[in-house]
Amino acid sequence: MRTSFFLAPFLSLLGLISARSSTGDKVLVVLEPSVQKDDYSKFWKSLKDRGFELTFKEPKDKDAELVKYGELNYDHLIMYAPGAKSFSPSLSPKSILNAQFSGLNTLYFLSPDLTESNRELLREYDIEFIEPSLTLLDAFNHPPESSISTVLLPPTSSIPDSNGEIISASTSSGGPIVYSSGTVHTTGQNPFLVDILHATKSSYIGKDKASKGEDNDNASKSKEPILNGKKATLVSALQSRDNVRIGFVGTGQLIKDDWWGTEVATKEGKSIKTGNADFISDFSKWIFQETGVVKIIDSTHYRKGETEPRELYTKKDEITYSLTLAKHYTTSNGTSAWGPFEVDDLQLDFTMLDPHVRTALTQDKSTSAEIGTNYKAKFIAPDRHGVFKFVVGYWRTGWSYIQSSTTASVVPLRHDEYPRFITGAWPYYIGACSTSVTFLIFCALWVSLGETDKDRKGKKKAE
Amino acid sequence: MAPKAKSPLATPSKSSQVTVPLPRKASEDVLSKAQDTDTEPLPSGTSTPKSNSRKLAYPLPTHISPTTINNTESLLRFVILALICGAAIGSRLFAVIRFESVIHEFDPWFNFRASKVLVNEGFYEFWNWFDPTAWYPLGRTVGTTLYPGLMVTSGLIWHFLRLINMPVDIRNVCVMLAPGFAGLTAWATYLFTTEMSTPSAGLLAAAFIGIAPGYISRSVAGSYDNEAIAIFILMACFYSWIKAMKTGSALWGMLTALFYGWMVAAWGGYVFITNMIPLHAFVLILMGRFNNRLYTAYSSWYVIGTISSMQVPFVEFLPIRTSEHMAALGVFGLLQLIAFVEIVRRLVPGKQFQLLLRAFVVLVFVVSFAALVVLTFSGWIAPFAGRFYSLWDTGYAKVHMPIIASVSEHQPTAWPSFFFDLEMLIFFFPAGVFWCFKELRDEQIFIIIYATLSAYFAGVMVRLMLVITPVVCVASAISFSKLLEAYIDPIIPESEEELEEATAHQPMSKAKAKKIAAAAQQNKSEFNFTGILGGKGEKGIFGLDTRFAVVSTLSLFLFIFVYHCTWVTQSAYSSPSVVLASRNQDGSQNIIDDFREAYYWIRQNTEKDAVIMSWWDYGYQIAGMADRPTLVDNNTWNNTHIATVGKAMSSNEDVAYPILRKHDVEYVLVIFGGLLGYSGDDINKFLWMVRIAQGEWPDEVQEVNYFTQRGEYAVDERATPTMKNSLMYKMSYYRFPELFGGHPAQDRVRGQTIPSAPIQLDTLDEAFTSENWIVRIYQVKKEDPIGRELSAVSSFESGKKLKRSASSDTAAGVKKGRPSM
Repeated sequence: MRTSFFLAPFLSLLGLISARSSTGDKVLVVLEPSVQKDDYSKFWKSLKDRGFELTFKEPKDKDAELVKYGELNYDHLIMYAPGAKSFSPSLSPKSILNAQFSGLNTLYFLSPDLTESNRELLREYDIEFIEPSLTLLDAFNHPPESSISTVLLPPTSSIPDSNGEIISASTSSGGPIVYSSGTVHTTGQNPFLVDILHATKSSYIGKDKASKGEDNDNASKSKEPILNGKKATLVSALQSRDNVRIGFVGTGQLIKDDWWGTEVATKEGKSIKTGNADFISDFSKWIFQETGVVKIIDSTHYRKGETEPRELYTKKDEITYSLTLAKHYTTSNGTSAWGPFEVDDLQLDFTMLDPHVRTALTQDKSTSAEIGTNYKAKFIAPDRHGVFKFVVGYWRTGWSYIQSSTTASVVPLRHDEYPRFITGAWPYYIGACSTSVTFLIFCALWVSLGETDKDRKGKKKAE
Repeated sequence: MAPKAKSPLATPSKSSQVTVPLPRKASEDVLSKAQDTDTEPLPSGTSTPKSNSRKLAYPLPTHISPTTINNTESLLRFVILALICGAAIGSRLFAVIRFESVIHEFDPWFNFRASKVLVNEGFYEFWNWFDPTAWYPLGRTVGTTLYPGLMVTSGLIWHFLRLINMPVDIRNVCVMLAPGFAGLTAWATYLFTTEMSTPSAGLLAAAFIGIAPGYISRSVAGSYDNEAIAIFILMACFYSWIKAMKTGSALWGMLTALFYGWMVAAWGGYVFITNMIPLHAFVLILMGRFNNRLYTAYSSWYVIGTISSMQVPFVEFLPIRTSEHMAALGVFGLLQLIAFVEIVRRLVPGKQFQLLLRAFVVLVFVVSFAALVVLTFSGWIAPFAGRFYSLWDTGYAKVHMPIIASVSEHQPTAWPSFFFDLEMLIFFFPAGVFWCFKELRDEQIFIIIYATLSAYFAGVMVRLMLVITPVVCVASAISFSKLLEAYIDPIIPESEEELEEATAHQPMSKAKAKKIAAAAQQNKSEFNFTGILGGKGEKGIFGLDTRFAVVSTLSLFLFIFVYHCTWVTQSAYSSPSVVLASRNQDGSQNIIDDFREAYYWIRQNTEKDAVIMSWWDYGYQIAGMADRPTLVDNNTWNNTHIATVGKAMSSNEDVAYPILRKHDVEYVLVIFGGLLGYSGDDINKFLWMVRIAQGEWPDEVQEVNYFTQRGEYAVDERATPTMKNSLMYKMSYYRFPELFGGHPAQDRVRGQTIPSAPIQLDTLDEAFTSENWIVRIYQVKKEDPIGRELSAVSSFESGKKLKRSASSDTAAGVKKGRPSM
């Protein structure tokens, strides 16, 4: 705990020379051959502007190694290969998952023509897709000149309110997001999954007649549940237990230059700036650990009147637990830094199998941390001995999961710590003393008044 | 060594010292019958000339003076006793010589660990010791939940040895403590038996207890358990009680109390003394033998003993709050009443008044007994503990407390084990009790009560064989020495007339002689059936051949006894059980050291605070040898916690995994004997885990599900799905068939063939398997970082592709609850 506290300034120094992401700046971009890199130049440029180093590879490139000698080669991965049928071993589903377990943030760009091997991988995240070659259609919300597969999504109704930390407010109230020939998925019961963008009420799933010119009755025959509105997820994200972030975007068209910072005509005939650039910037910032990142700087616990943590506390001790949290942010000159993180719903559990104490961690304004915000909780240790844990678990959408667990034991009073000469024991003290005194008096009387040898002899004679 | 102790009895040169007591005894018997008081012992010198006048079966040396005889006797006794102590210690060293100086079994490992804390950190730290690694996460306040007597004893010895500049490792003190105290036990038994009978019986008893397997089973070197010192304290306590009761000395009463206090500090079996002494006193009162000596002895024992027992933190107020101790309190009260009444009776004449007083005693007794019952039912006095009930109803524990019944040493004793542990003593034992009945002095009543009680208890629990062993040794030594005395005695009986003449010649008053004659007359009519030992001259032993036949037979018995004891000790009771031994085909010894191998693996390869889950049998060993936290251990104080482990072991992985995670378990350890044929493994204990778990969760774990339809406990193809899916089964047989390379995988303990279908473990990784597969350790997997079920993870790892997503069958959009982190 203390080492990280002292290291923190150095870490922030490191931030000066690296990207604004809190984890690193090396990005591997895997593009399938059919994707023209230049069609997305504005997106690449925006990433480079944010300080990332991009490396472009193809799915079958042998040298696209994610992990080398047990260390991650790249910090982030952009996977734009929905049509790839096979991958080089280093990009196989297993190695990608393993790399993600060791910290690789990933952004998947998908398409309606998702191959089965890709679907299998994505099912591991508990994401299920509609059948191939079906796309999201909307006959009401599309640019007049485009086909109905180019859906315009008004952010106010398509982005759930709970994503405030991921998608900024300006984006949520900004221009429509152009979702062109994209697929639809459902997020399962996996609690780590978050819906970022969903379809409008008027949208539906089907084959784009305009582009393919085929008969559209596949959709009705499909056994898939009919998806629309909130259930039809278009963009979703997963934050793993270790705070690794993985994003799923239903179509790569979202980052195409055509919709990046351009204007689009609505059906009312107005021309509005598209929200694609803002949306993807916000989303990729979150995925690449630039926003919504919180870390524990320091946590400690001590008894009243002390400052150092103990391994053993006595029952009914007054224990103080303090925690310092810091939020990652980007300074105005584009560097990485850690600043205060202020919330009012943090809580601490003092747990042995079940929480014995659950109390609020409140901001401690009295001491100012070098970095971040101090939180503090004071409580009386339970009247129960055992191995307890100070557990902090803060789980909010869009923020890193804050988990901390520190072990300390609560022990009974030592033999000499019990109160002495308590009032309730007076009867016993008096009893003991009076018995002793009486015994002494009795002995004295016996010795002085008892029969002498003479008496005894006389008695015997008398008998 | 041991035969030496007895050989003197058979040689003619020493026979003189044995023959001396018999004539004296015979006359004493008559005297005591006649006078009903203690006889003043006749000087032993008088009997020698008397016997000279008699016909002797073989010549005795005549020119030795009585003082020489006395001196030789005491020197011989001392030497013999010293040799017996040596034999007692020596026969317990098999374990050290065969294996090494190592702590044995399970409980001793805890005692050893506690002793180390005591020695290294001092007494106060030991007293306040809280062990966070035991019963994780509940912890154990060790200092106040153990009997510290054993550790304090060895700690004192250790300090003493250092004081005299003999720095000895505490481990060696612990290993050698039991043999050392066994030597002391022999000495205490000698003293005890001498009080009951003669010194020669005492020597025999000392020799018996020194090598009786029933006691050796608990006191070989390395068996560092409470019983190691408890039997010595028991005998010393009983000896000083007999002494106190006989002499009426408060000093001996206090000594009894101090030994009692030591016993309370050392062993939970002290309750036996707590009830034995009051019972003895109570029986004496009922027999009308109340006297001031009994009063002084009992009162001083009870008061000082109770106070000293209350100093033990673990006992504290139990002596006044539990039913087990109420008999002692009741008898104490009764004695006060009787003493009071006696005083009043002496001072106040009048027969009616006396009657009234007696009625008063009975009334007070009844009223206070009723009060006791009321207090018990109202909860002020704790009723008897469960273990106590299981002494009366052997089926009680199995139904109500499977945790107690699951311990093998709590099972009822099998008949052969009486012979195995006591050999010929078990046949001489009733004869000795008979002899006690015959004389029925106060102290012999003690033997009778002790014999009756312990004979019952030993039949109920294997463990209590230990309690019966001392009394068996004492009683059979009495009968044995009586036999030997009768047959070695060189006096050839005279006719009745001669006998009467001889008694008449003795210098004594006429009245006394008359009384004796009358008593002798009475004896004749009373004891016609008692034969040679009836104390009647005309039915003694006449020829030398009879003597030779019987004495040589008895000597043969003794030799066989020694042979048997040595054989049992070396073959059955000298295995440390942490190290196993087997014989190779060429007869050489093969040491199987899997336990220590595994425990050291844990010690070297896991985090210091990694929690290990195993069945409770191995808790102390893991704590002692691997130094890691355990969920449950041999101090079975929390049934629920043990049942939790039982449930985890007997459930399938889906049920077990949350339990493991909730308790922060990182490694699971199982003992598997299938490869080697080690029958004490977890699969054989498995049904107890199921039963204990069922006791807490009758809906979730059911014993029936682990038996085949035909009621068999099978692990092969016939095993039920519940059995096959249980964590214990999976962990035991994981990858086991692979070992046989296609051949049928044979479980050598159960004699069954394990199905060759591979067992899949989703939530555990095999971390370590010892050389002979006895110990298998599994690491608990962490939850999947991206929220998959662990079964899904392992099927993904094995290359299976998902055709549908995990929650595609259920309603979409409903998120599961927040996962535990």
